[in-house]
Amino acid sequence: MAKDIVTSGLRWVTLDAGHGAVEGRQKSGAASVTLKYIITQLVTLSIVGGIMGLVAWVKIPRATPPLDEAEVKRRLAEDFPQTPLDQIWLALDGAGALAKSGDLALLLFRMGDSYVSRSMAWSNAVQAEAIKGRFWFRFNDFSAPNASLALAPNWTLAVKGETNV
Amino acid sequence: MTAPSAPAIDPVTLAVPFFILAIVLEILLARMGKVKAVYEAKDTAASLLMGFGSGIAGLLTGGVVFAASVWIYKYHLFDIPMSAAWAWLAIFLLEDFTYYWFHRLSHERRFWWAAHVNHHTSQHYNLATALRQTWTGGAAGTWALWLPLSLLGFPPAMIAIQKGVSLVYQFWIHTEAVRRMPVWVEALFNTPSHHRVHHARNPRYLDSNYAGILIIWDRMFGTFVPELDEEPCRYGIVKNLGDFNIFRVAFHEWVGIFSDLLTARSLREAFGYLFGAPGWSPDGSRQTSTILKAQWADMQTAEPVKTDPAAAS
Repeated sequence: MAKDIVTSGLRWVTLDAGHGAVEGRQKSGAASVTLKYIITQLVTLSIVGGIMGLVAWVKIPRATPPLDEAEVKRRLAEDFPQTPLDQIWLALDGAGALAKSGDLALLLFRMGDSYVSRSMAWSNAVQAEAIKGRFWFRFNDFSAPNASLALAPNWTLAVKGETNV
Repeated sequence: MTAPSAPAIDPVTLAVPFFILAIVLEILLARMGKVKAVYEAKDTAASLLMGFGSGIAGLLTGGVVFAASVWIYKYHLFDIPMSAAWAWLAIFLLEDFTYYWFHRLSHERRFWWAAHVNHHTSQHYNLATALRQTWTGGAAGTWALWLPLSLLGFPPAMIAIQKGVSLVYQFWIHTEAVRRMPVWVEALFNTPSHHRVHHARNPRYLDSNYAGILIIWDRMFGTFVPELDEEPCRYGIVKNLGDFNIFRVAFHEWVGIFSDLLTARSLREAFGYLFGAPGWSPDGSRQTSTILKAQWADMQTAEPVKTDPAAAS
């Protein structure tokens, strides 16, 4: 006896043992389910693509004006409360900033129309690699492996209170 | 066993056209300036692809979940008919109660947070965010929390339908387009306002409003926090992700757990990394939401109130 079980939009077929006569039907049923599943996934992917296209077309992200020092302080204060900042370097493109807080470097960088922050040892930050006008900061963090900031080429020379950076 | 083991209808499948239309409508109305909604192309792509992947991942564990429900149901304590109105009222309340604890566990214990965190990784709050669903929820095993309902005597099909209804309900509350519902709705039900708070990373709002459909569970168990106009929600997680890579969205916390386990020096530490609160560390050098909330509370009561710690620079 075949018994239909419908779950998650798919029709499953279960068969009692010893009914070999329905094996053919079972195989064609399985193929039909597989084909239906593949078609459903393709249609879903098309719809996903359509919505992505619509979002790209209508352009309704948050405004991202260039950061100024007050905005950097405000944003870093949210993520690093009660952390005094010694000095701030704004990225030349206004899309991020680096701040020094004792022996810590606090980074703020743009992701899409939002911002992400991370901290790292200051001693590592000053060794950031410069590639094509951007400094690359590597974090030991799978959730944010690295960030790049368009800082002035000689930004490390401007560290207050340090003569040998 | 006379009751059907699998649902004849799947509310989620039936609701898919509504999901699509609602997202398109929210985007277009926002474009026309009629409602508040912010969409960023890559963020939306990540949300939708997470939803797509979640469906595939669900297939891999769906059979196990289904088999477990049916097996448990063989030993059910009471015969609960699917045709009785009281039975649907009972499953509505019990499923929602179960969802509350599932959701609370998924936020307050790191192993299950690893499976759920992806849903919170967007810094946006719109209907597409609702589809940013887990890829690892089945593997994390939280579905077992619903098995007692089968043991009680609710047919697995009935439970599956009610879980679907809950998921469909929770779609529409992922929006900034609706500011507040009527007072009685806000008092009883989970609403866009309540759920915005749940998705916020402001310390004041962390670990709150776990409700599925009824907000009464949060009010009963002390996890309800109202949305305040003077403190707009900042969405995302405490340490937001550095890019839109969907594999990072899906697995970053699992990688974090694995990395931490490699450094564990005792079983106690390993247990803490696995089942402690997210942010737990042996030396307390990291911050759990409890610590973040306490720091925030201290800042509020400190005299004089210093709202900009960067001012010293």
